[in-house]
Amino acid sequence: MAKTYDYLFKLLLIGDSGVGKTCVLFRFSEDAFNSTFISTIGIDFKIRTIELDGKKIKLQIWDTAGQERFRTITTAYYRGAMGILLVYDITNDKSFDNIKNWIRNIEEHASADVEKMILGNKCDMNDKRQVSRERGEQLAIEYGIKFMETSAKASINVEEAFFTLARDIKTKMEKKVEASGGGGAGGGASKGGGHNIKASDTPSKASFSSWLSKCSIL
Amino acid sequence: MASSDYETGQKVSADGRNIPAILCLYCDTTILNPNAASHTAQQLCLPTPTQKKDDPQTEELNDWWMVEDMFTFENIGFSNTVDGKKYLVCANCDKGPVGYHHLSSKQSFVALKRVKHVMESDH
Repeated sequence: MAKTYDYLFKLLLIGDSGVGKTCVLFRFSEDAFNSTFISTIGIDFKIRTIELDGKKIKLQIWDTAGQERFRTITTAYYRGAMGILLVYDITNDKSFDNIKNWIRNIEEHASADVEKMILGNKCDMNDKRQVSRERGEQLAIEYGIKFMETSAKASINVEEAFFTLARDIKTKMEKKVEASGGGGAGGGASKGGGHNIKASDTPSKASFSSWLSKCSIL
Repeated sequence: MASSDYETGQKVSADGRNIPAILCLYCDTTILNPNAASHTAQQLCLPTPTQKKDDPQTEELNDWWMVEDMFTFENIGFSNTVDGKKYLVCANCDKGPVGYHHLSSKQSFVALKRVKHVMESDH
């Protein structure tokens, strides 16, 4: 069967434990109706489909699933990653300081041209804020990467963050293809042939954002 | 009316593909677009969504949508691996399992009974 999408991007969430990465991506809900079967096993990754500039993009999104506690995030985890969301908690100074360590870890283990973005999560908890927005911005400028403050709980900017990262990867990839004279797409992209099935029922913005917003604070 | 949930009559095309879109039973997130999966009739067990502690409950299900490539899914979550399998859940509300993914064959199976079928014209 012909591929029904234009691009496939592998994205990772990185950051200290408790900054809300799981919240950004995976909803470990305490709601009574939630499957106890699945919550026992835990979720490994998700596939989400978005549309950008008329292109259908599959996002395969991975969480570190607690590996960060043991600093065991290594090359295997980063393999094939095209985008990384570096997440800290604005109410936790230490998680912000550690972003530098995470960037070092990425430089050591990930592909050199991986797209990165810094997210200051839990921006709904302004009363407990320890890291000013300016410090976040400054750090991002220092590394030349994008920055956003997000709240997975209040559904602020999380969706935008995924779209921004996906757009940056797509732009980079298209430039690469152009530079190589329109040859094969690089970076493990799957380029659909001429048989694109136009999604008649792509996930609406609303459903994407509700998925991202459902969360309990970790 | 429960039996109509997995009657396949109007859901399977002449070449065995799904005619309706496949959605989460609970939150209507699109799991598979029309014509993305093949119907297979076989008896397989799938754990029930809610479980009693230390007493794993499974349900025998007969009708499945088989998906060859995991990236055919519009939206889906994969559990951690258990005995060479990953269970599939809704990517939006995490409810499930709606089926499973075999690591060895790379094929995924979605139980007709655990998802909603919506014809294009119903939208």
